[in-house]
Amino acid sequence: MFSKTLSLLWFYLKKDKFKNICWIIAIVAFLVGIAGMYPSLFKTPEDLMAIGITMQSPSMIAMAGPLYGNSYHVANVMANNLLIFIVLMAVIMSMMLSIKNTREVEEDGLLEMINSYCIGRCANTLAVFLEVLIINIIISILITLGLTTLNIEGIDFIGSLVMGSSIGLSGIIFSCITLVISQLFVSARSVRVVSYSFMAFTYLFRAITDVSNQDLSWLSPMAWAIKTEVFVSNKILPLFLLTIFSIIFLVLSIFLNNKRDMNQGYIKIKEGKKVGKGFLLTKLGFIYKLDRVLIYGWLIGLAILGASYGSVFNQVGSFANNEMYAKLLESVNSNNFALALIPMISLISAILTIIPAVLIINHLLSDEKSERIEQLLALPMSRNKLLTSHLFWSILVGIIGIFLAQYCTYAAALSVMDSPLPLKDFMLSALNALPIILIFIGLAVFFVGWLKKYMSILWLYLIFGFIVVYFGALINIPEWITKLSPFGLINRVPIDNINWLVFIIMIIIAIVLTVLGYIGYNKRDIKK
Amino acid sequence: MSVISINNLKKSFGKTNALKGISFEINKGEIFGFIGPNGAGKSTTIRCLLGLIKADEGTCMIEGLDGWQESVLAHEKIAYVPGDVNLWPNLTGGQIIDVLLSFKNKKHTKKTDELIKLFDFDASKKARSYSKGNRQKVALIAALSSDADIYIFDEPTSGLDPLMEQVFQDYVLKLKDEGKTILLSSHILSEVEKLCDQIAIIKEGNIIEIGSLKDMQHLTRTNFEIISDIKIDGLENIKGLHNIKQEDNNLKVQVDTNNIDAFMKHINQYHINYLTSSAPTLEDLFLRYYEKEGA
Repeated sequence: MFSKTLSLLWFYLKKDKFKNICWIIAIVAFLVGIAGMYPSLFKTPEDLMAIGITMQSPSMIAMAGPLYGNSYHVANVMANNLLIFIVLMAVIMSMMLSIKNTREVEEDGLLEMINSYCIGRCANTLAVFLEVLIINIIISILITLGLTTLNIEGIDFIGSLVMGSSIGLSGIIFSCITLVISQLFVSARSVRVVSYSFMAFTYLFRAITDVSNQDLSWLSPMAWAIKTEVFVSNKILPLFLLTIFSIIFLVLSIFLNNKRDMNQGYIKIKEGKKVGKGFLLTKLGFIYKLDRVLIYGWLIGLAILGASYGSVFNQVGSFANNEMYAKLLESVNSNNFALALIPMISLISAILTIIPAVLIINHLLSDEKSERIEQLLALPMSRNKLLTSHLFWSILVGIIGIFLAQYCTYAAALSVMDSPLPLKDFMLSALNALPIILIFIGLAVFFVGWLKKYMSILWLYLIFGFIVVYFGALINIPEWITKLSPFGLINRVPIDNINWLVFIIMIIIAIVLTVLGYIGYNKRDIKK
Repeated sequence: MSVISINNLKKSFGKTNALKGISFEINKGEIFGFIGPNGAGKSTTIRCLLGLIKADEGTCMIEGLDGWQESVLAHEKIAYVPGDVNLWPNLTGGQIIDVLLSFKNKKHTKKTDELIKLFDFDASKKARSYSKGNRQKVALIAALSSDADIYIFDEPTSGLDPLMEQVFQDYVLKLKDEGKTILLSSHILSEVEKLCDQIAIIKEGNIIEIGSLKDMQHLTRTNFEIISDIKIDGLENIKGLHNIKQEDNNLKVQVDTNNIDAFMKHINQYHINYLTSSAPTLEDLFLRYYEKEGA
């Protein structure tokens, strides 16, 4: 049943060497690197008090879990701020690896080839588990050593060991759960969707219960790493739970693996629709159906983002104590910190709205690369109609995205603030950022028409915009550089008024780019 | 009247000249076979015809409509099946068939159901799980049930099993009976041999031979296999004999078509126990054209 497990393990370790080393370095460096910056970020007890109070607000507890301890130290604040995110990284890494080397190799027919040698039926599952185990142990050890050597007051060896183990064990338990899931479903995609959904569910469950009733959050394995109360009371029970349940899930996965046939699962996928009907059969409906998941995924994400920004509006006063935020807000010359946050939030929302909007246009290129588009263009469908169907959804997502994010910010702010800001402020700010989104959509159409191979330039230009927005406020970037991005051109609404001249000029630029894109798309060859 | 006419079509991609002046015409009700190895320019010609790529020179017309300028109008008359069918992974086969039909302003009819049955196709699966053959079936079913005037197939059976290949061939002959025009690009030569009225052989962007299989066979050699009482002598005096293989009274030889008379008169002097003659297959022809310059 398990023969040749070690040869297989050796093969996987060699095959995934590069990827695994990258993950290990990323996780360890991220945690130890940022933890190392904490003493300089929070020099005085007042600094720690400010961040501590912030982290006690419901929205922050939901995001990162409760902050343990009666007083605020670098150690417990750091653990509270970072632990859940490092756990998430380790979990995602472990799950990716577990899906890749189980159901995905099976679906691709590679496992059949491997198993045709004298390799035990369950050797693969065990080998993947051992691979994940080894990587997580390495991560745990490196984190323990890394944190200890930082030599920061409160971050002792025992605490570091607990933190490192809780991270590694969290990765392992989710890997074991994934191994079970990958026995159940036949397609790798189902395994992926179910596994990540389960992960998201445990995170959300923890978020809600941490705010409402922290005893209940013991039910979520995502909470166990936090429950160690690392650097405060270093509880061992959660580590014990993580270990026990990892073993249970591992045994279950091996039992299920041993019972089933190759390329089979335990859960049948329901049959799809045999015929197409209604909206799907229109051009707009067809594109909608293809992009539905992308559209809703991003819109929900934008709504959550907006709401989480809004939920901290009552605390922006305490942000002012923080050096970085103070510097950020100083540049807008406003005493109303809450008001000053709106333009920033609208620009961040704009960046995140641009991504799905451009992705929709980009589907024209991915369909061209896969030659799917030939089948559409060989029908009596003009290139203009095809492009317009994509553009329609792109612009719609662009408009809905930014206004939705701003509305959710407003709604969340309304619930937490004593004297809430008017909706108008948020909506005007969204309107002000809209031309940026339209310019990027226009650029995407232009690239599709003329420069299909250089679409990555557009993404770089968007990243440049992000840098202008985020760091432009923190460090002094020369004005002429910020003005190279549309993000640097618009006024800070609602602090200032919308500059309608700039607004109209930007809309015109967007239209010109789009029209040029149409012309190019009609003139060029459609080929791989 | 020619339904498809391609005239001096030239196209280059960067430095490679993919098409160096392709010309041919396809008449109404004809099955036109287009053969050549991969990279010879078959698909490039078809893509020009479909208006997917723009020719550098020359024209291609579908029922008098320019393939590039008036592609949308032209496409109302045609149905196209690409060689490498890729589908949208999150739709089912059935949904994709109906989408493709509806974009042609056609509906899912009884004929569609018949074809789904005929090709033994499971329309309820998501496209991401289909094999190459099943993806091809999606395009074939959508094309065949769309009731077009002209069908363009670019290596349509490369992923199908022999049974399904037969179903396809029968269906193509049925379309011919209905008076439809068909352009069949293929490198399965037996298929072309069986179905096509006219055949064009393309090589490195040029059409090197065009005509019916009979015409082509006429231009070439006939295979003879003869067993006589005694060894046939004096073959060296007859012109137009090739690949002579002689073992005692057993002779295998290829004879140029215009020398058959002289050859027959010569062997008539002998007592023949056994004789077969066969026209060259398309494969023989094809290989000969390709060997000519290779040698």
